[in-house]
Amino acid sequence: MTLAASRSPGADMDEMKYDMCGAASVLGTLQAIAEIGLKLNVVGIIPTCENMPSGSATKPGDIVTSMSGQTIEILNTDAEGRLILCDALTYAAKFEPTAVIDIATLTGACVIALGHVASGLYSNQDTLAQELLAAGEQTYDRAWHMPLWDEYQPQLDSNFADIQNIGGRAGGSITAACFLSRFTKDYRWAHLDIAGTAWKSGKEKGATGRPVPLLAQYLINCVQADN
Amino acid sequence: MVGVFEGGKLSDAAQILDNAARNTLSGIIARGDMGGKIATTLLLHSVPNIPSERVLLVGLGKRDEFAARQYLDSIRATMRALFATGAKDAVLYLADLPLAGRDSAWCISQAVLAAFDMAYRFDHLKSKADKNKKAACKIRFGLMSGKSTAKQDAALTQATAIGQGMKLTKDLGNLPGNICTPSYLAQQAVALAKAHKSLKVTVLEEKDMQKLGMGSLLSVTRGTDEPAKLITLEYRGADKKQKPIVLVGKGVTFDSGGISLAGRRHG
Repeated sequence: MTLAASRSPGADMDEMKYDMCGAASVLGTLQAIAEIGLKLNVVGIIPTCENMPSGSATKPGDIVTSMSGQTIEILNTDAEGRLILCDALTYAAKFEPTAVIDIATLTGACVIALGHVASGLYSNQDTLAQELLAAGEQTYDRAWHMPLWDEYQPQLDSNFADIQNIGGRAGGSITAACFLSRFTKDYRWAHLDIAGTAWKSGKEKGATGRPVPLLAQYLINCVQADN
Repeated sequence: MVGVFEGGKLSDAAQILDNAARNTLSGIIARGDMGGKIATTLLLHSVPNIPSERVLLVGLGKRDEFAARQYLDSIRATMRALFATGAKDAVLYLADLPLAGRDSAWCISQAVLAAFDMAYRFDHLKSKADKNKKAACKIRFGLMSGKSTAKQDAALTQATAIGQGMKLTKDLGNLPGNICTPSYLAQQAVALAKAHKSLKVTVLEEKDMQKLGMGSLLSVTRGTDEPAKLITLEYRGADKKQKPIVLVGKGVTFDSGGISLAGRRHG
């Protein structure tokens, strides 16, 4: 996850163990709906790895080819979440999904924008966004609808590849979502940036279990809408 | 566990208790020990004519301001106070208080989630177990209507499942990076699929991802010795012809930032 510039190097670095909270929320949600026996089909996809420096590590400036065929210039190896998500999102298409929702502790910029109260919500379809917002409101596990306008996309232009993996400090959570949107054009998609809501720092340090209530409620509502 | 509004006004359930206890509760309130301030609690023992060992008074704040947030604050205070006692059985009479914009099914759900949250501990990595560990407490919901509706029952079942799901999510999040590795997450997914017939798991290795052309994903894992995984968990709750909803969760089990070390200022 790309951290906010206000953080000093090294401080709170232990909290980067929480960078798998999106994955954990998918497992928690699937367990919950399996317990309930929800009459719905759901696929959970978890791309999981560590991001470490070493002699073989990816270097800033490296260019790689994603599963979609698009080439990516990796200008910052700390903007790694979108690099694993984009391939998982391309892979998701094989399930012919009615909707794809990714959940990620993606950017420190989202924490600056929304604090620790609301998760950042992005979507390429307003109806899906409204459904997720409603599920969050219903469970008090709330999200806030952020813009995914084309005007932000040029921040990701690269001189050497199809796209670069960071868009600068301005609107950092938005440009991260814009990056993902390049890989999700074929289906209804939403993205939840949970960098501010998945865990608490300080004396009460610990994971919150969010956004399992939002996700589970959304799925419950999908079943009710079908009936 | 019953509610008291600011100014000492008893909730309906508290009023019934007070009548049975010959005004013991209102006496205590009149003495100034419970003013009904939001999220305050007062534990009473051996209240006359009440069969339960304890009565927990919960402050609900101003009656005309009592809304979702106030309910959540008081319900969390209630659970915190309850779990500090040795009670093994408790009845909550707060879930059917009149609340603007929310029904009692919602109140039940939130009470369940608050109970899970307040009961949550992550201490199994400490070398010595907590000697003061409390026995489990069974919580029941008392409703003035006497009988629960189907909606209330569903809320209880669903919130319990969601609470357990949140517990799993918290446990995985809180586990350190040297335990919760990509392989560990994959094992957890396999365990989930073992526990539920409706779940099917597949784990792809780096060589499989290579074949799929996942050059972006694999670029992130280049610097570590821990093998990356791509886990797929398929839940089948409906006809197999029904197209699924897909949830994709980022699972970077430790993010140092790589060569651009985390926390460094970047443009």
